[in-house]
Amino acid sequence: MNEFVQQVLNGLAIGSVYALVAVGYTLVFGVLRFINFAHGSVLTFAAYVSLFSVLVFKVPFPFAFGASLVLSGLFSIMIERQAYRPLRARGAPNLNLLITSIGVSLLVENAIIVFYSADFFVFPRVLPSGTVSLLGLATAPPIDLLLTAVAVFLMSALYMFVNFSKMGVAIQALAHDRDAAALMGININLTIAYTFFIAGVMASSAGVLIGIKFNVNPYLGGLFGVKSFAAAVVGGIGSIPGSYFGGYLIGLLETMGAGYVSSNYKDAIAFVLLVLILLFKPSGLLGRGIQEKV
Amino acid sequence: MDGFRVKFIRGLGVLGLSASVAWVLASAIRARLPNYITGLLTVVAINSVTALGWNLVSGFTGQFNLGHAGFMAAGGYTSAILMIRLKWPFPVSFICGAAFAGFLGFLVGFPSLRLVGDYLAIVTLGFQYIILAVLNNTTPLTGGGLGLAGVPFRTHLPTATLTVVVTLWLLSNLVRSKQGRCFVAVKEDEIAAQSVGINTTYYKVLAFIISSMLAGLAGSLLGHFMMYLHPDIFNYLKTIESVSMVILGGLGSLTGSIVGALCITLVPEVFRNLATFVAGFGLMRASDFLRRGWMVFYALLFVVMMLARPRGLMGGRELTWEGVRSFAARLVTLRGVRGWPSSKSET
Repeated sequence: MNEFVQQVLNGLAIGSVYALVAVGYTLVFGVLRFINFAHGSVLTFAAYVSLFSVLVFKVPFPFAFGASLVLSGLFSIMIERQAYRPLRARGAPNLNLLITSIGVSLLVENAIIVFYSADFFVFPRVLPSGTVSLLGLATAPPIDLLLTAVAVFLMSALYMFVNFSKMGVAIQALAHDRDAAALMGININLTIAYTFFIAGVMASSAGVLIGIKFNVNPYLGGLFGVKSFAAAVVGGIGSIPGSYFGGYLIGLLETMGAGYVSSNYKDAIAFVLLVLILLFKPSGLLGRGIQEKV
Repeated sequence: MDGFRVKFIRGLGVLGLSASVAWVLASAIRARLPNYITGLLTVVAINSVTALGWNLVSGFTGQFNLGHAGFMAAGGYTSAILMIRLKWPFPVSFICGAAFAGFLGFLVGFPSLRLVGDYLAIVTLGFQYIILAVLNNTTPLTGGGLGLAGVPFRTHLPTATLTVVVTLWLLSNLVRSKQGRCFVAVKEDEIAAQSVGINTTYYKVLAFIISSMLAGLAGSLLGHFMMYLHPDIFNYLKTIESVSMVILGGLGSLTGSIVGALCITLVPEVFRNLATFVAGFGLMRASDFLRRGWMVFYALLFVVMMLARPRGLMGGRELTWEGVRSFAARLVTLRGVRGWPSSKSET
């Protein structure tokens, strides 16, 4: 029983990461209808920014965390402006956008390797060491608790933003019908920039925290990014609660699979689930089908 | 009917002629030139087959495939294991490798290609991770993380060149056939294609299966060339390599894929040799930068090509004798090269 509770805790912590990244895919997919493969590189970028701030500039961790959230959000906007907007402006096919986003993620990864280093960095100690006991049932390292708390906080903040602010409603309108939204006087480019900023902030919070949990390396965003996308599709792409649900589902299944079955196929679980979902319920567990319009 | 037969015989004649010319040329190169050059050209040939395969499903049919290297692994391992463990002859295991990769292509393609959208990209990427996990964990059969050593050497330059010629012939006929036109129709507008009665799922899956078979062929050529297989050879970056070749040559241009394969295989070699050359003068920092600078250059290629020349260096055209001749004629008469694709001709 105790072991089970422990596995659930671990699954919740890693599921928070997937959920935070997956919601970014869903938001961007909602407004632009394409998979932003460069989303994972925002996560890597954030981990390096916070590492630099703490190691080189000796900034206290909370400020470094905040700075990396803002900078990564801006980085995400910059990617959209420099790489995607010119393509959108001339109505390039979706395939070109996908290839560009792959190129951007490759560029970030390789630029870090060439201009900095390909080494794996252990994050300096910023949290108390040891583990925290939870009601005597299980123990968790402080980073897992922080991860879950940050995830819950950001998710509630996003809920408030999307439902109760003008810009949030604009994002929803854009996801619903871009042309109609433009005709209603919504500034399309500004709304898209906001969407990318929010997606970047959500992903970067996950990036900094997994940098602390594991280590910081140029490939950080790769596998986490891809699995989070799988999570977004499993939950139903385009649905914000769906991406949280998918993220936690994959996190839990992965830790359970590694704990009770075999850790050899841990990375494959998310994708097997993805294929099953596409076979039996392509719109995702909580998603509504996307209507292709002429 | 008669016209069809004449065309068919002429097509076979073209294949026979170009195959024998390629075979003779490749044998001559293999006999005369140093091993380094022969090896490099063999790699170019293998990469051409990979790029052609990727181009068919992504350039012509418009479905983004990110698991190409996974299908290469399937073909390469199948062919190698059949030869090593069951002592099957090379041509049979070569074909079996391709067939197995094609079968996996069906398994992966069917659930994801029924849907409209970019689901294929993420499923194939997942397939890549699954196949690497399987290869790493079936040690008795595939050698696991230690790799599979002792794969017989069968990929000579003539064999590889012949494969390229046959592939190119098959694909250039395919894309001009009814099926090929349907592929392009699906890429241009899936809903419109559906509304004129094209079974889009069927054609998408068909293109994907042919593409994975070609990847399987290339993978088995690669295995029989390197005489060693390891799961890490077929990682995500291997797929990206084929993508870069097609982008450079142009999405939807067959000869472009070969030009792209040539550039992407040879340019890093040039960079590497330049780095060694510079290091000879004691300029270690410059050498180091050249050695690693290729990677940034390579990544920039994707973004810059998509922004500036989305149809590739060749502008989506094929390299034909007529084209080369008229280009040369224009150069000679110095009237300005008008037929050269401008960046405005993109879609």
